[in-house]
Amino acid sequence: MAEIPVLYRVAKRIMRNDADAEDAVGQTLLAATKAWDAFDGRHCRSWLITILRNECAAIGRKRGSRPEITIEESAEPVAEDFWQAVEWSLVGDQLMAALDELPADYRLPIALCDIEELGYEEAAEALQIPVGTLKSRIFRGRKLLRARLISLQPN
Amino acid sequence: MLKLHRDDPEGPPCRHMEHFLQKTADGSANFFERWYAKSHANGCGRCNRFLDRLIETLGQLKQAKQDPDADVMERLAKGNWRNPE
Repeated sequence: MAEIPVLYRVAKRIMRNDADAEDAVGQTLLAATKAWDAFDGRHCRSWLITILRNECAAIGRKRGSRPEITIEESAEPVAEDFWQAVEWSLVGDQLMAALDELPADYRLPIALCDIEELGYEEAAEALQIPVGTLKSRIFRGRKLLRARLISLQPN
Repeated sequence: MLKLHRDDPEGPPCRHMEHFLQKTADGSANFFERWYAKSHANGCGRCNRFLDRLIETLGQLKQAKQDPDADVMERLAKGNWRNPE
């Protein structure tokens, strides 16, 4: 199934560990198989990711993990007077580690649009939020990501 | 007189430009937004640097995308799903 790698990567961004990500994808595929008749034929990836988010939440509840704290949209903007300090040599694991430190509200929009290359409409549908909200979270999430990357830089 | 361009490349981008720069970097800007952002960035050190680095970061994010390990893929593709109790 072509969507498995996408689902697994998104699950990893949500659960932030391999075992839970695999469980979540397995449960998603199982749930999708059962609910296939209810699929409206539009954005398959969005539909699967919506199921995946629910499965991740269910696994989190079973594990007894607390919901992540989310950041209000009106939070103070990140100071950006750090550009000169940034070395953009951070790639791969470091970049993903920085991304994983972001609150889910910002991490998932970036994972869907900037990594998985979903369109805004498709990603908004997957996250069940308006497109405008998605865009503002992506833009703000990128700012936060840059701040995280700065904090990883050696002095 | 209001100065709309900053020559020095250090520091944050111009506040009124960031939205257009982000859309230009991720490819979602329309022709006019892209033209506006690039025209501004050409004359503004900070925005030019911001745009370059944002494009680079977005490229790195795409490159950092990794497929699951082969054994994980095999288990998932074969339907060997376990109940996460």
